[in-house]
Amino acid sequence: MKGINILKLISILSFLLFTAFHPLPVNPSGYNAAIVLKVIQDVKHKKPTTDWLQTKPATQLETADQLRTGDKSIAVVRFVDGSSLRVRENTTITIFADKKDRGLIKNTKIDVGKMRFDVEKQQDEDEFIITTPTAVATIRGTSGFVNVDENGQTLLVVETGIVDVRALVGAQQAGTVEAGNSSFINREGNVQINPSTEQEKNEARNTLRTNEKYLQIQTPQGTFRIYYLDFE
Amino acid sequence: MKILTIFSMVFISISLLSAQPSIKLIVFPELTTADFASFATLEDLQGAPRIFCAEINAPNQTVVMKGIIEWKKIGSPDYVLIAWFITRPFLSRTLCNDDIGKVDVRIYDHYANTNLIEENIRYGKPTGEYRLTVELYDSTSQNLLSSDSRNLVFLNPSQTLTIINPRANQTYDAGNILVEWTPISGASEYYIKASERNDPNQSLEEALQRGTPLVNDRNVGIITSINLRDILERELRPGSEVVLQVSANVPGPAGGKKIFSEIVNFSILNPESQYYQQLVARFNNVMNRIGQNEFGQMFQSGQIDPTKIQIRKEDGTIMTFEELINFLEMNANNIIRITKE
Repeated sequence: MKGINILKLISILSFLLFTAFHPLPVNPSGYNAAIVLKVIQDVKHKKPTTDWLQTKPATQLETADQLRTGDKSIAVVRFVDGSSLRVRENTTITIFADKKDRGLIKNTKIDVGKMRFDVEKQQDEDEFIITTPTAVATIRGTSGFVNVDENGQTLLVVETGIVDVRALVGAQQAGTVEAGNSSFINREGNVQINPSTEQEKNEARNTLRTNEKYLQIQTPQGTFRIYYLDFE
Repeated sequence: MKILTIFSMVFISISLLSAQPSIKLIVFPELTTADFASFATLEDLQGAPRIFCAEINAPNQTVVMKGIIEWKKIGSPDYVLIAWFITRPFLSRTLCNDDIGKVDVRIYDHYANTNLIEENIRYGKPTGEYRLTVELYDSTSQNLLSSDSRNLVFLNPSQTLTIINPRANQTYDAGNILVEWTPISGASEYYIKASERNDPNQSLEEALQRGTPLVNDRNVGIITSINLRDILERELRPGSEVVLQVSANVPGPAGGKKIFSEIVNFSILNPESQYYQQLVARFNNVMNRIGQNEFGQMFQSGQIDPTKIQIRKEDGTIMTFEELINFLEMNANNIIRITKE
Protein backbone atom coordinates (compact mmCIF):
# COMPACT_ATOMS: atom_id res chain seq x y z
CA MET A 1 0.00 0.00 0.00
CA LYS A 2 2.79 2.36 1.01
CA GLY A 3 4.68 1.40 -2.18
CA ILE A 4 1.69 2.40 -4.32
CA ASN A 5 1.48 5.82 -2.63
CA ILE A 6 5.18 6.51 -3.31
CA LEU A 7 4.66 5.47 -6.94
CA LYS A 8 1.68 7.87 -7.21
CA LEU A 9 3.73 10.70 -5.74
CA ILE A 10 6.61 10.09 -8.14
CA SER A 11 4.17 10.07 -11.07
CA ILE A 12 2.58 13.41 -10.03
CA LEU A 13 6.00 15.01 -9.48
CA SER A 14 7.22 13.76 -12.83
CA PHE A 15 4.16 15.19 -14.56
CA LEU A 16 4.58 18.58 -12.86
CA LEU A 17 8.28 18.71 -13.75
CA PHE A 18 7.56 17.74 -17.33
CA THR A 19 4.86 20.38 -17.82
CA ALA A 20 6.91 23.09 -16.08
CA PHE A 21 9.92 22.79 -18.40
CA HIS A 22 8.27 21.83 -21.64
CA PRO A 23 8.41 24.77 -24.12
CA LEU A 24 5.26 26.22 -25.73
CA PRO A 25 4.21 24.21 -28.75
CA VAL A 26 5.45 25.75 -31.98
CA ASN A 27 2.66 27.54 -33.91
CA PRO A 28 -0.09 26.36 -31.61
CA SER A 29 -3.51 26.65 -33.13
CA GLY A 30 -4.90 28.52 -30.12
CA TYR A 31 -2.06 31.03 -29.68
CA ASN A 32 -3.36 34.48 -28.61
CA ALA A 33 -1.79 36.86 -31.09
CA ALA A 34 -3.61 40.12 -30.38
CA ILE A 35 -6.44 41.73 -28.51
CA VAL A 36 -9.12 44.08 -29.79
CA LEU A 37 -8.87 47.27 -27.77
CA LYS A 38 -11.60 49.35 -29.33
CA VAL A 39 -14.62 48.76 -31.50
CA ILE A 40 -16.53 51.54 -33.21
CA GLN A 41 -19.79 50.56 -34.93
CA ASP A 42 -19.81 47.32 -36.94
CA VAL A 43 -16.80 45.04 -36.42
CA LYS A 44 -16.86 41.26 -36.80
CA HIS A 45 -14.32 38.49 -36.43
CA LYS A 46 -14.15 34.78 -37.23
CA LYS A 47 -11.99 31.73 -36.82
CA PRO A 48 -11.17 29.55 -39.84
CA THR A 49 -13.89 27.14 -38.77
CA THR A 50 -16.61 29.50 -37.52
CA ASP A 51 -19.03 32.10 -38.84
CA TRP A 52 -18.58 35.84 -38.37
CA LEU A 53 -19.20 36.96 -34.79
CA GLN A 54 -19.81 40.47 -33.48
CA THR A 55 -16.53 41.77 -32.02
CA LYS A 56 -16.46 43.40 -28.62
CA PRO A 57 -13.61 45.22 -26.90
CA ALA A 58 -11.19 42.74 -25.24
CA THR A 59 -11.89 40.05 -27.84
CA GLN A 60 -8.74 37.96 -28.20
CA LEU A 61 -7.58 37.13 -31.70
CA GLU A 62 -5.73 33.90 -32.28
CA THR A 63 -3.52 33.11 -35.21
CA ALA A 64 -5.47 32.75 -38.49
CA ASP A 65 -8.43 34.74 -37.09
CA GLN A 66 -10.04 37.27 -39.41
CA LEU A 67 -11.40 40.70 -38.53
CA ARG A 68 -13.74 42.74 -40.70
CA THR A 69 -14.98 46.32 -40.33
CA GLY A 70 -18.17 47.66 -41.86
CA ASP A 71 -19.15 51.12 -43.11
CA LYS A 72 -17.81 53.94 -40.92
CA SER A 73 -16.49 51.36 -38.49
CA ILE A 74 -13.12 51.02 -36.82
CA ALA A 75 -11.24 48.46 -34.77
CA VAL A 76 -8.06 49.01 -32.79
CA VAL A 77 -6.02 45.84 -32.36
CA ARG A 78 -2.96 45.46 -30.15
CA PHE A 79 -0.34 42.75 -30.42
CA VAL A 80 1.48 41.17 -27.49
CA ASP A 81 4.57 43.32 -28.15
CA GLY A 82 2.54 46.54 -27.89
CA SER A 83 2.33 47.19 -31.63
CA SER A 84 -1.08 48.30 -32.79
CA LEU A 85 -3.25 48.39 -35.88
CA ARG A 86 -6.07 50.84 -36.45
CA VAL A 87 -8.28 49.06 -38.92
CA ARG A 88 -10.40 51.56 -40.85
CA GLU A 89 -13.82 51.08 -42.45
CA ASN A 90 -14.62 48.29 -44.95
CA THR A 91 -11.37 46.46 -44.29
CA THR A 92 -10.69 42.77 -43.82
CA ILE A 93 -7.52 41.48 -42.18
CA THR A 94 -6.21 38.10 -41.10
CA ILE A 95 -3.81 37.83 -38.22
CA PHE A 96 -1.03 35.28 -38.01
CA ALA A 97 1.41 34.89 -35.17
CA ASP A 98 4.11 32.27 -35.21
CA LYS A 99 6.44 31.77 -32.28
CA LYS A 100 9.82 30.63 -33.57
CA ASP A 101 12.69 29.40 -31.37
CA ARG A 102 13.29 32.79 -29.79
CA GLY A 103 11.31 35.31 -31.76
CA LEU A 104 7.71 36.05 -32.58
CA ILE A 105 6.64 36.53 -36.20
CA LYS A 106 3.50 38.64 -36.59
CA ASN A 107 1.97 38.76 -40.01
CA THR A 108 -1.18 40.71 -40.82
CA LYS A 109 -2.76 40.01 -44.16
CA ILE A 110 -4.95 42.79 -45.49
CA ASP A 111 -7.13 41.84 -48.45
CA VAL A 112 -8.81 45.17 -48.99
CA GLY A 113 -9.19 48.42 -47.06
CA LYS A 114 -7.11 50.77 -44.97
CA MET A 115 -5.13 50.26 -41.85
CA ARG A 116 -2.72 52.31 -39.76
CA PHE A 117 0.21 50.55 -38.13
CA ASP A 118 2.22 51.70 -35.11
CA VAL A 119 4.83 49.03 -34.68
CA GLU A 120 7.07 48.83 -31.62
CA LYS A 121 10.79 48.37 -32.19
CA GLN A 122 11.19 44.67 -32.93
CA GLN A 123 13.72 42.45 -31.15
CA ASP A 124 16.38 40.78 -33.33
CA GLU A 125 14.41 37.57 -33.72
CA ASP A 126 11.01 39.25 -34.00
CA GLU A 127 9.32 40.35 -37.19
CA PHE A 128 6.25 42.41 -38.00
CA ILE A 129 4.98 41.83 -41.52
CA ILE A 130 2.04 43.21 -43.45
CA THR A 131 0.97 41.23 -46.48
CA THR A 132 -1.33 42.50 -49.21
CA PRO A 133 -2.44 40.75 -52.44
CA THR A 134 0.45 42.46 -54.25
CA ALA A 135 3.16 43.10 -51.64
CA VAL A 136 4.81 42.19 -48.40
CA ALA A 137 6.18 44.84 -46.07
CA THR A 138 8.61 44.16 -43.24
CA ILE A 139 8.32 46.72 -40.49
CA ARG A 140 10.63 47.54 -37.58
CA GLY A 141 9.68 50.32 -35.20
CA THR A 142 7.63 52.21 -37.71
CA SER A 143 4.35 54.06 -38.05
CA GLY A 144 2.38 54.55 -41.22
CA PHE A 145 -0.61 53.62 -43.21
CA VAL A 146 -1.48 51.02 -45.81
CA ASN A 147 -4.33 51.18 -48.32
CA VAL A 148 -5.26 48.22 -50.49
CA ASP A 149 -7.73 48.96 -53.30
CA GLU A 150 -10.28 46.62 -54.85
CA ASN A 151 -7.66 45.45 -57.41
CA GLY A 152 -5.22 44.54 -54.67
CA GLN A 153 -2.85 47.41 -55.49
CA THR A 154 -1.08 48.71 -52.43
CA LEU A 155 -0.29 52.22 -51.21
CA LEU A 156 2.12 52.33 -48.28
CA VAL A 157 2.70 55.67 -46.48
CA VAL A 158 5.59 55.71 -43.99
CA GLU A 159 5.43 58.40 -41.28
CA THR A 160 8.36 57.27 -39.12
CA GLY A 161 11.01 54.57 -39.41
CA ILE A 162 11.78 52.36 -42.40
CA VAL A 163 9.80 49.68 -44.23
CA ASP A 164 11.24 47.10 -46.60
CA VAL A 165 8.73 46.34 -49.29
CA ARG A 166 8.66 43.61 -51.94
CA ALA A 167 6.10 42.93 -54.65
CA LEU A 168 4.61 39.45 -54.61
CA VAL A 169 3.44 39.50 -58.23
CA GLY A 170 4.79 40.21 -61.70
CA ALA A 171 8.18 41.94 -61.74
CA GLN A 172 8.52 41.37 -57.97
CA GLN A 173 10.43 44.60 -57.50
CA ALA A 174 11.63 45.53 -54.02
CA GLY A 175 12.61 48.73 -52.22
CA THR A 176 13.08 50.51 -48.92
CA VAL A 177 10.59 53.20 -47.95
CA GLU A 178 11.85 55.80 -45.50
CA ALA A 179 9.89 58.22 -43.31
CA GLY A 180 8.07 60.87 -45.33
CA ASN A 181 7.84 58.64 -48.39
CA SER A 182 5.14 56.52 -49.92
CA SER A 183 5.28 53.43 -52.07
CA PHE A 184 2.77 52.26 -54.62
CA ILE A 185 2.86 48.60 -55.66
CA ASN A 186 0.74 47.80 -58.71
CA ARG A 187 -0.53 44.54 -60.13
CA GLU A 188 2.49 44.29 -62.42
CA GLY A 189 4.74 44.05 -59.40
CA ASN A 190 6.35 47.48 -59.85
CA VAL A 191 7.38 49.30 -56.70
CA GLN A 192 7.32 53.12 -57.01
CA ILE A 193 8.71 55.14 -54.12
CA ASN A 194 8.05 58.89 -53.93
CA PRO A 195 7.84 61.59 -51.25
CA SER A 196 4.39 61.45 -49.67
CA THR A 197 1.90 63.96 -51.01
CA GLU A 198 0.01 66.27 -48.64
CA GLN A 199 -3.11 64.22 -49.29
CA GLU A 200 -1.32 61.01 -48.32
CA LYS A 201 0.10 62.62 -45.19
CA ASN A 202 -3.34 63.92 -44.21
CA GLU A 203 -4.88 60.55 -44.81
CA ALA A 204 -2.24 58.90 -42.64
CA ARG A 205 -2.80 61.48 -39.89
CA ASN A 206 -6.54 61.01 -40.15
CA THR A 207 -6.17 57.32 -39.38
CA LEU A 208 -5.35 58.39 -35.81
CA ARG A 209 -8.98 59.40 -35.36
CA THR A 210 -10.28 56.55 -33.27
CA ASN A 211 -12.01 58.51 -30.53
CA GLU A 212 -15.79 58.60 -30.80
CA LYS A 213 -17.37 61.91 -29.79
CA TYR A 214 -20.72 63.56 -30.39
CA LEU A 215 -22.52 66.85 -30.80
CA GLN A 216 -25.98 67.15 -29.31
CA ILE A 217 -28.70 69.08 -31.05
CA GLN A 218 -31.84 69.90 -29.13
CA THR A 219 -34.85 70.65 -31.28
CA PRO A 220 -38.56 70.93 -30.53
CA GLN A 221 -38.82 67.61 -32.41
CA GLY A 222 -36.40 65.82 -30.12
CA THR A 223 -32.71 65.50 -29.36
CA PHE A 224 -30.28 64.32 -32.03
CA ARG A 225 -26.69 63.27 -31.70
CA ILE A 226 -24.07 63.54 -34.40
CA TYR A 227 -21.29 61.05 -33.65
CA TYR A 228 -17.89 61.71 -35.16
CA LEU A 229 -14.34 60.44 -35.01
CA ASP A 230 -11.79 62.59 -33.26
CA PHE A 231 -8.11 62.17 -32.47
CA GLU A 232 -7.18 60.13 -29.41
CA MET B 1 42.79 120.68 18.26
CA LYS B 2 43.14 119.24 14.78
CA ILE B 3 41.26 116.12 15.87
CA LEU B 4 38.50 118.26 17.37
CA THR B 5 38.13 120.20 14.08
CA ILE B 6 37.84 116.99 12.04
CA PHE B 7 35.33 115.54 14.51
CA SER B 8 33.24 118.74 14.33
CA MET B 9 33.23 118.66 10.51
CA VAL B 10 32.13 115.04 10.44
CA PHE B 11 29.37 115.77 12.98
CA ILE B 12 28.14 118.77 10.96
CA SER B 13 28.13 116.71 7.76
CA ILE B 14 26.10 113.95 9.39
CA SER B 15 23.66 116.53 10.77
CA LEU B 16 23.28 118.10 7.35
CA LEU B 17 22.75 114.70 5.76
CA SER B 18 20.10 113.75 8.26
CA ALA B 19 18.35 117.04 7.65
CA GLN B 20 18.11 116.33 3.90
CA PRO B 21 14.36 115.98 3.18
CA SER B 22 13.40 112.49 2.06
CA ILE B 23 10.34 110.54 1.10
CA LYS B 24 10.04 106.79 1.42
CA LEU B 25 7.17 104.80 0.00
CA ILE B 26 5.74 101.94 2.03
CA VAL B 27 3.33 99.64 0.19
CA PHE B 28 1.56 97.31 2.51
CA PRO B 29 2.69 93.77 1.84
CA GLU B 30 -0.62 92.25 2.87
CA LEU B 31 -2.28 94.24 0.14
CA THR B 32 -4.79 92.09 -1.69
CA THR B 33 -5.13 92.28 -5.41
CA ALA B 34 -8.73 93.38 -5.05
CA ASP B 35 -7.76 96.25 -2.75
CA PHE B 36 -5.18 97.44 -5.18
CA ALA B 37 -7.59 97.22 -8.07
CA SER B 38 -10.07 99.38 -6.26
CA PHE B 39 -7.33 101.90 -5.54
CA ALA B 40 -5.67 101.91 -8.94
CA THR B 41 -8.93 102.46 -10.69
CA LEU B 42 -10.29 105.04 -8.29
CA GLU B 43 -10.45 108.64 -9.41
CA ASP B 44 -11.27 109.91 -5.98
CA LEU B 45 -8.47 108.95 -3.63
CA GLN B 46 -10.50 109.67 -0.55
CA GLY B 47 -12.27 106.62 0.68
CA ALA B 48 -9.84 104.24 -1.01
CA PRO B 49 -8.50 101.44 1.13
CA ARG B 50 -5.11 102.06 2.73
CA ILE B 51 -2.64 100.99 0.09
CA PHE B 52 0.50 102.94 0.81
CA CYS B 53 2.09 105.45 3.16
CA ALA B 54 4.72 108.00 2.29
CA GLU B 55 7.20 108.46 5.10
CA ILE B 56 8.25 112.10 4.76
CA ASN B 57 11.27 113.29 6.63
CA ALA B 58 11.54 117.08 6.30
CA PRO B 59 11.07 118.51 9.76
CA ASN B 60 9.13 121.77 9.92
CA GLN B 61 9.23 122.17 6.18
CA THR B 62 6.23 122.93 4.00
CA VAL B 63 6.17 120.47 1.14
CA VAL B 64 4.10 119.33 -1.81
CA MET B 65 3.70 115.69 -2.75
CA LYS B 66 3.02 114.30 -6.18
CA GLY B 67 1.78 110.75 -6.64
CA ILE B 68 1.92 108.88 -9.94
CA ILE B 69 0.26 105.56 -10.81
CA GLU B 70 1.40 103.80 -13.95
CA TRP B 71 0.41 100.49 -15.46
CA LYS B 72 2.17 98.01 -17.69
CA LYS B 73 -0.30 95.60 -19.29
CA ILE B 74 0.71 91.93 -19.54
CA GLY B 75 2.70 91.58 -22.75
CA SER B 76 3.27 95.32 -23.13
CA PRO B 77 6.85 96.66 -22.91
CA ASP B 78 6.03 100.12 -21.52
CA TYR B 79 4.29 101.72 -18.60
CA VAL B 80 1.38 103.99 -19.32
CA LEU B 81 0.11 106.68 -17.01
CA ILE B 82 -3.15 105.83 -15.26
CA ALA B 83 -3.37 108.79 -12.88
CA TRP B 84 -1.46 111.43 -10.96
CA PHE B 85 -2.27 113.89 -8.24
CA ILE B 86 -0.51 116.87 -6.60
CA THR B 87 -1.28 118.03 -3.09
CA ARG B 88 -1.52 121.55 -1.87
CA PRO B 89 1.41 122.60 0.42
CA PHE B 90 1.34 120.92 3.82
CA LEU B 91 3.60 120.78 6.80
CA SER B 92 5.65 117.68 6.28
CA ARG B 93 4.42 114.58 7.99
CA THR B 94 4.06 110.93 7.17
CA LEU B 95 0.83 110.45 5.28
CA CYS B 96 -1.07 107.58 3.74
CA ASN B 97 -3.20 107.52 0.63
CA ASP B 98 -6.41 107.65 2.63
CA ASP B 99 -5.18 110.88 4.32
CA ILE B 100 -5.00 112.66 1.00
CA GLY B 101 -7.91 115.00 0.53
CA LYS B 102 -8.37 115.45 4.27
CA VAL B 103 -8.18 118.81 6.04
CA ASP B 104 -4.41 119.38 6.13
CA VAL B 105 -3.50 117.60 2.90
CA ARG B 106 -5.75 118.80 0.11
CA ILE B 107 -5.45 117.82 -3.52
CA TYR B 108 -4.41 120.72 -5.73
CA ASP B 109 -4.71 119.01 -9.09
CA HIS B 110 -5.17 115.53 -10.46
CA TYR B 111 -5.44 113.60 -13.71
CA ALA B 112 -6.94 110.23 -14.55
CA ASN B 113 -6.91 108.36 -17.85
CA THR B 114 -10.52 107.22 -17.92
CA ASN B 115 -10.01 104.78 -20.78
CA LEU B 116 -7.32 102.92 -18.88
CA ILE B 117 -9.34 103.02 -15.71
CA GLU B 118 -12.29 101.52 -17.56
CA GLU B 119 -10.01 98.88 -19.02
CA ASN B 120 -8.80 97.99 -15.55
CA ILE B 121 -12.35 97.85 -14.29
CA ARG B 122 -13.27 95.53 -17.13
CA TYR B 123 -10.50 93.17 -16.15
CA GLY B 124 -12.10 93.10 -12.73
CA LYS B 125 -8.74 92.64 -11.05
CA PRO B 126 -5.26 94.06 -11.29
CA THR B 127 -3.32 92.50 -14.10
CA GLY B 128 0.23 93.16 -15.23
CA GLU B 129 2.52 95.52 -13.40
CA TYR B 130 1.68 98.70 -11.54
CA ARG B 131 4.22 101.36 -10.51
CA LEU B 132 3.56 103.77 -7.70
CA THR B 133 5.83 106.82 -7.54
CA VAL B 134 5.83 109.59 -4.95
CA GLU B 135 7.79 112.80 -5.35
CA LEU B 136 8.44 115.38 -2.65
CA TYR B 137 8.79 119.05 -3.64
CA ASP B 138 9.67 122.18 -1.76
CA SER B 139 6.43 124.19 -1.64
CA THR B 140 8.06 127.52 -2.46
CA SER B 141 10.93 126.73 -4.81
CA GLN B 142 9.09 123.76 -6.44
CA ASN B 143 12.42 121.92 -6.37
CA LEU B 144 12.32 118.15 -6.24
CA LEU B 145 13.56 117.16 -2.81
CA SER B 146 13.23 113.39 -2.99
CA SER B 147 11.32 110.61 -4.71
CA ASP B 148 10.63 106.92 -4.32
CA SER B 149 8.75 104.27 -6.28
CA ARG B 150 7.57 100.69 -5.92
CA ASN B 151 6.52 98.14 -8.52
CA LEU B 152 3.64 95.79 -7.89
CA VAL B 153 3.40 92.77 -10.14
CA PHE B 154 0.15 90.85 -10.56
CA LEU B 155 1.04 88.12 -12.99
CA ASN B 156 -1.34 85.55 -11.62
CA PRO B 157 -4.54 87.39 -10.91
CA SER B 158 -6.92 85.73 -8.53
CA GLN B 159 -10.37 85.83 -10.01
CA THR B 160 -11.54 86.31 -13.54
CA LEU B 161 -15.12 86.56 -14.67
CA THR B 162 -15.21 85.14 -18.18
CA ILE B 163 -18.22 84.89 -20.44
CA ILE B 164 -18.27 81.38 -21.89
CA ASN B 165 -21.26 82.02 -24.09
CA PRO B 166 -22.22 83.93 -26.22
CA ARG B 167 -18.88 84.18 -27.97
CA ALA B 168 -17.58 87.32 -29.59
CA ASN B 169 -18.48 87.94 -33.23
CA GLN B 170 -20.77 84.90 -33.52
CA THR B 171 -24.33 84.90 -34.81
CA TYR B 172 -27.07 83.46 -32.61
CA ASP B 173 -30.71 82.72 -32.96
CA ALA B 174 -32.75 85.21 -30.95
CA GLY B 175 -34.51 82.52 -28.96
CA ASN B 176 -31.47 80.48 -28.07
CA ILE B 177 -28.87 82.72 -26.55
CA LEU B 178 -27.65 81.04 -23.43
CA VAL B 179 -25.49 83.39 -21.38
CA GLU B 180 -22.91 81.38 -19.44
CA TRP B 181 -20.01 82.62 -17.36
CA THR B 182 -17.34 81.33 -15.00
CA PRO B 183 -18.19 81.47 -11.29
CA ILE B 184 -16.51 83.92 -8.94
CA SER B 185 -15.73 82.65 -5.51
CA GLY B 186 -17.61 84.62 -2.85
CA ALA B 187 -19.99 86.30 -5.31
CA SER B 188 -23.36 87.15 -3.75
CA GLU B 189 -25.08 87.81 -7.06
CA TYR B 190 -24.41 88.38 -10.73
CA TYR B 191 -25.66 91.18 -12.94
CA ILE B 192 -26.19 91.20 -16.67
CA LYS B 193 -26.14 94.25 -18.83
CA ALA B 194 -26.83 94.12 -22.57
CA SER B 195 -27.43 96.76 -25.20
CA GLU B 196 -27.91 96.94 -28.91
CA ARG B 197 -24.91 98.38 -30.71
CA ASN B 198 -26.42 100.83 -33.15
CA ASP B 199 -23.24 102.11 -34.71
CA PRO B 200 -20.37 99.79 -35.67
CA ASN B 201 -17.96 102.66 -34.96
CA GLN B 202 -19.06 102.74 -31.35
CA SER B 203 -16.66 101.07 -28.94
CA LEU B 204 -18.09 98.10 -27.06
CA GLU B 205 -18.00 100.14 -23.85
CA GLU B 206 -19.85 103.01 -25.47
CA ALA B 207 -22.40 100.66 -26.97
CA LEU B 208 -22.99 99.02 -23.60
CA GLN B 209 -23.47 102.35 -21.86
CA ARG B 210 -25.24 104.33 -24.56
CA GLY B 211 -26.75 101.79 -26.96
CA THR B 212 -30.39 100.76 -26.88
CA PRO B 213 -30.69 98.92 -23.56
CA LEU B 214 -31.86 95.32 -23.70
CA VAL B 215 -31.01 94.21 -20.18
CA ASN B 216 -30.28 96.93 -17.68
CA ASP B 217 -27.94 95.54 -15.02
CA ARG B 218 -30.40 92.81 -14.12
CA ASN B 219 -29.64 90.94 -10.88
CA VAL B 220 -29.90 87.27 -11.83
CA GLY B 221 -28.89 85.85 -8.46
CA ILE B 222 -26.15 83.33 -7.88
CA ILE B 223 -26.60 81.27 -11.07
CA THR B 224 -23.92 81.10 -13.77
CA SER B 225 -26.12 80.67 -16.85
CA ILE B 226 -29.40 82.05 -18.07
CA ASN B 227 -31.31 82.25 -21.32
CA LEU B 228 -31.08 85.84 -22.49
CA ARG B 229 -34.69 85.74 -23.62
CA ASP B 230 -35.84 85.28 -20.01
CA ILE B 231 -34.40 88.62 -18.90
CA LEU B 232 -34.86 90.76 -21.98
CA GLU B 233 -36.55 94.10 -21.45
CA ARG B 234 -36.97 94.64 -25.20
CA GLU B 235 -37.24 92.22 -28.09
CA LEU B 236 -34.06 91.38 -29.97
CA ARG B 237 -34.08 92.64 -33.53
CA PRO B 238 -33.06 90.07 -36.19
CA GLY B 239 -29.78 91.14 -37.75
CA SER B 240 -28.86 93.48 -34.90
CA GLU B 241 -25.60 93.44 -32.97
CA VAL B 242 -25.67 93.07 -29.20
CA VAL B 243 -23.03 93.85 -26.56
CA LEU B 244 -23.19 92.09 -23.22
CA GLN B 245 -21.32 92.17 -19.93
CA VAL B 246 -21.67 90.13 -16.75
CA SER B 247 -20.56 91.46 -13.37
CA ALA B 248 -20.28 89.82 -9.98
CA ASN B 249 -20.84 91.46 -6.64
CA VAL B 250 -18.45 90.17 -4.00
CA PRO B 251 -19.39 91.41 -0.51
CA GLY B 252 -16.55 92.73 1.64
CA PRO B 253 -15.82 95.04 4.58
CA ALA B 254 -15.60 98.22 2.51
CA GLY B 255 -18.87 97.62 0.72
CA GLY B 256 -17.46 94.76 -1.30
CA LYS B 257 -16.27 94.91 -4.85
CA LYS B 258 -17.63 94.39 -8.30
CA ILE B 259 -15.86 92.16 -10.77
CA PHE B 260 -16.65 92.73 -14.42
CA SER B 261 -16.31 90.39 -17.35
CA GLU B 262 -15.04 91.55 -20.69
CA ILE B 263 -17.73 92.87 -23.02
CA VAL B 264 -18.72 90.48 -25.80
CA ASN B 265 -20.46 91.43 -29.01
CA PHE B 266 -22.56 89.07 -31.12
CA SER B 267 -25.23 89.25 -33.79
CA ILE B 268 -28.81 88.08 -33.97
CA LEU B 269 -29.64 85.73 -36.80
CA ASN B 270 -31.98 87.16 -39.38
CA PRO B 271 -33.98 84.43 -41.15
CA GLU B 272 -34.80 86.88 -43.94
CA SER B 273 -31.16 87.58 -44.70
CA GLN B 274 -29.15 86.20 -47.59
CA TYR B 275 -26.56 85.12 -45.04
CA TYR B 276 -29.13 82.87 -43.37
CA GLN B 277 -30.27 81.42 -46.68
CA GLN B 278 -26.66 80.61 -47.49
CA LEU B 279 -26.27 78.84 -44.15
CA VAL B 280 -29.33 76.70 -44.85
CA ALA B 281 -28.02 75.80 -48.31
CA ARG B 282 -24.59 74.89 -46.88
CA PHE B 283 -26.21 72.76 -44.21
CA ASN B 284 -28.31 70.86 -46.76
CA ASN B 285 -25.21 70.26 -48.89
CA VAL B 286 -23.18 68.88 -46.05
CA MET B 287 -26.06 66.65 -44.94
CA ASN B 288 -26.15 65.20 -48.47
CA ARG B 289 -22.42 64.51 -48.24
CA ILE B 290 -22.83 62.74 -44.90
CA GLY B 291 -25.60 60.52 -46.21
CA GLN B 292 -29.22 59.83 -45.42
CA ASN B 293 -30.29 60.41 -41.84
CA GLU B 294 -33.44 61.42 -40.03
CA PHE B 295 -32.09 64.75 -38.85
CA GLY B 296 -31.09 65.82 -42.36
CA GLN B 297 -34.44 64.72 -43.77
CA MET B 298 -36.42 66.60 -41.11
CA PHE B 299 -34.29 69.68 -41.72
CA GLN B 300 -34.73 69.56 -45.48
CA SER B 301 -38.49 69.05 -45.20
CA GLY B 302 -38.71 72.13 -42.96
CA GLN B 303 -39.75 70.19 -39.85
CA ILE B 304 -36.67 71.39 -38.01
CA ASP B 305 -36.22 75.14 -37.83
CA PRO B 306 -32.52 76.03 -37.40
CA THR B 307 -33.48 79.13 -35.43
CA LYS B 308 -35.02 76.89 -32.79
CA ILE B 309 -32.19 74.47 -32.16
CA GLN B 310 -29.51 74.42 -29.50
CA ILE B 311 -26.21 72.73 -30.30
CA ARG B 312 -23.76 71.57 -27.67
CA LYS B 313 -20.47 69.76 -27.80
CA GLU B 314 -19.89 66.74 -25.59
CA ASP B 315 -18.21 68.97 -22.99
CA GLY B 316 -21.31 71.15 -22.81
CA THR B 317 -20.02 74.15 -24.72
CA ILE B 318 -22.46 75.75 -27.10
CA MET B 319 -22.01 75.94 -30.86
CA THR B 320 -23.79 78.32 -33.18
CA PHE B 321 -25.55 77.04 -36.29
CA GLU B 322 -22.75 78.45 -38.41
CA GLU B 323 -20.10 76.75 -36.25
CA LEU B 324 -21.96 73.45 -36.65
CA ILE B 325 -21.93 73.86 -40.43
CA ASN B 326 -18.22 74.72 -40.44
CA PHE B 327 -17.52 71.68 -38.29
CA LEU B 328 -19.56 69.33 -40.48
CA GLU B 329 -17.96 70.65 -43.66
CA MET B 330 -14.51 70.03 -42.20
CA ASN B 331 -15.41 66.62 -40.79
CA ALA B 332 -17.98 65.17 -43.17
CA ASN B 333 -15.82 62.07 -43.65
CA ASN B 334 -15.45 61.62 -39.91
CA ILE B 335 -19.18 61.57 -39.14
CA ILE B 336 -20.06 58.01 -38.29
CA ARG B 337 -23.76 58.22 -37.48
CA ILE B 338 -26.60 60.55 -36.53
CA THR B 339 -29.13 59.25 -34.07
CA LYS B 340 -32.31 60.48 -32.42
CA GLU B 341 -32.15 60.02 -28.66
